[in-house]
Amino acid sequence: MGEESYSRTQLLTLGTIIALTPALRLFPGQTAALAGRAAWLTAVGALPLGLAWLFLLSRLLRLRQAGENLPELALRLLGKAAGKAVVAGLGLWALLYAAFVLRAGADRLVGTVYPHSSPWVFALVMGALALAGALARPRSLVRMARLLRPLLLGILGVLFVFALPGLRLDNLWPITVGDLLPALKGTLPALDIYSGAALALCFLVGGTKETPGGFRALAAWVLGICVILTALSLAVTGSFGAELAATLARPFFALVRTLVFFRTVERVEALVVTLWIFPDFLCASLFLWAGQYCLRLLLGQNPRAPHRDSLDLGGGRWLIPLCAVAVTGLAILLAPQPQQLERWSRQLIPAINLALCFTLVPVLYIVGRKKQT
Amino acid sequence: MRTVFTLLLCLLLILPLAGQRGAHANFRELEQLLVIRTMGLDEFRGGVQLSLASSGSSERGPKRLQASGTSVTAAMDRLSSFSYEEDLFCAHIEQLLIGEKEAEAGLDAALAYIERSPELRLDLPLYIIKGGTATDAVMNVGGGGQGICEVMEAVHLSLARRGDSGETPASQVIRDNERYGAALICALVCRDASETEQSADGSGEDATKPLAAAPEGYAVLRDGKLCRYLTKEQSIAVGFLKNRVGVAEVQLRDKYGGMAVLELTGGGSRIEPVWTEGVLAGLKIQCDVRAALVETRGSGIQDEAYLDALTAALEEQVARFVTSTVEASKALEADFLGLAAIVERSDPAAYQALPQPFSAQLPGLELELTVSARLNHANDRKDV
Repeated sequence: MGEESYSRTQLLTLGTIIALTPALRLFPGQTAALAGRAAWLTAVGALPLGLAWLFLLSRLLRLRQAGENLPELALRLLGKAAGKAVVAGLGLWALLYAAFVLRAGADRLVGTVYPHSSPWVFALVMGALALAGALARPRSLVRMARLLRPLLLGILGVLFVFALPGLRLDNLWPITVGDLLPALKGTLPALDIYSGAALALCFLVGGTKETPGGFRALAAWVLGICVILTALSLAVTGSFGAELAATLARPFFALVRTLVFFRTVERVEALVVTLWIFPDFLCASLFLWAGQYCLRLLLGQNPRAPHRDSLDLGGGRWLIPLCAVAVTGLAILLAPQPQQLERWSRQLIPAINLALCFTLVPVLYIVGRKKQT
Repeated sequence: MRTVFTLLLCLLLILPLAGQRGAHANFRELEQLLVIRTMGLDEFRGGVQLSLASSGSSERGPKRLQASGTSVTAAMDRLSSFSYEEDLFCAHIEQLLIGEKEAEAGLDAALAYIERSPELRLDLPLYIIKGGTATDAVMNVGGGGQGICEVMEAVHLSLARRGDSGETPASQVIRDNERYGAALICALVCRDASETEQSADGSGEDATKPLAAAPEGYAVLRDGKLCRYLTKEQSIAVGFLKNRVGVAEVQLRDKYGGMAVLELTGGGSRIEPVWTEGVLAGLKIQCDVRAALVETRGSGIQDEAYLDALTAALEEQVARFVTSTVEASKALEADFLGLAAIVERSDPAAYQALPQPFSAQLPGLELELTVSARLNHANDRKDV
């Protein structure tokens, strides 16, 4: 794994970028619908539970052996039958999530920039690119995330600054006791983003140079995500009000459409929407890679075995293009109606994510601890 | 990975330019674009009358188009078919004018169209054509190579400073309508422009009779439908009650019975709800007015006593404006001033416990109003 190694900070950078995909899809709109005016507090509200879960995850990662990723850890801790079942579940979930990312990304392009187009073209192109990403070494994905982080966060920062003059206090305040329960419900999307991104990184954690665990690093990372989510929510809810933000499918991009820069530049939403291809690419590639990794493990292959180059399909790597075809096909067939996609985006995917994160990690940890003693 | 990165960058460039049918549909020849800047919407036999206008240029006047259809999309399709030589480009529409009848019938469909449209901006300013149609405004306002777009540029600049009306973005109208059940939209009147020009230059009647458009206060929307207009005075009071006071002139009688013209230059209000044993009993409004004396038609001595009397008259006048506006809100049971937010901020728990929606409580509220005015300056003349 020496060649594959990267630092924990680099890996967490990848986590930040892949968190941007659900952040812009779910966060401003769904939290506004759930929490109303208190939407901007939900990312902070999700922190205690998110940190507790990350603490558990960091303890679980300490149980790893050198080079182990989450699937091998599950297989070792749970035994042959249960372990294989869990790895199969993880693999299928990863492939399903990759397909959903392709479908949701295509829908975003159709809904904002190419209204007369069909999502399948975008799903197909992104599927091909995700295949290239999954065929490459995972270190490449991590490096690409490092390149993209300043660009994407810089753009988000600029957009936030230009959105500031349009913020209205009465869209954000007062927060009353009556808002607490809806605000608690509104923490679910944030929790989904924190835990989903962290769990995805567990598929690559075997390549990190540092000792396992690292709760402090995880906590600092999740605080960073929390700041991004809060800024997003402040900008959208503060500009439009929770009532309007909740009715919009992509309120962040609707906000970008209204921004004018120095009274000369406007309508930059096409550029911003297109830039979000990058997090989509990384997210889809990572989950495609994770899916094939689990399947190869189930087939008794060694998915960590070195390969000559990207086009080397030996050692079970032929599964990668096969999985890419399956994922792209699924993305094309998935949720043909907008309402169905909305249900997938707001209910099914977050529910599966949260269920997986909040059952698998505690179960693995408890089993691991018992085996240790 | 470098290859993937390069591929991705290429994709970013390729997708908007060429390829599949849908993406290709976004490609437009710049020379053939007709950039639409103003859209008008009217009710027409149960459907929609759509009117569009582009800017005028030195070579040619503005292009104006109109068509009817069962929906905005159907009307737009008809317009596209009839203007085949030019491609309608609607991403830079800067204002939406709405005819009075359309507004009376309800704006929900129009607002939902704006929300859905990938071309229109959510902060698109809305205007209701008072006593007229949007088609009339789009097709006939302007003259001498200029059209509604150029006139609206002037209106936009004027609204930025004036205190008797204001621009209302669609997003604000949608939000207020949803939150308070009522909203304000800038009202626009279209009048025969030759009236003004004739009196200015004394020349004969203009054969084409172009129209001029000017803002005239606000239209009140309740449950998405136009229910009344505010007078100029009431619209000035809206500025005080929403703490967005712009420049507006007020005419008063001075202590000698002559006319004095004051220009409002600033001010605002502080609104406090009055709770009696947990029940919302009324509203206490404190207004602060700053004004400048700009013109007098009296012959008396303009000493300190004169200015004090004028200040008192101004306070009385502004109190009348504010009372009239709040009374209009109470009579309509429409919280177009957003008073509910102020009441909620003052005591969120008590607001949540209100037995009825705030708008239903409006008619029963007592109003306690105090106005304090201050004459900032009297321009370049020593009055004392």
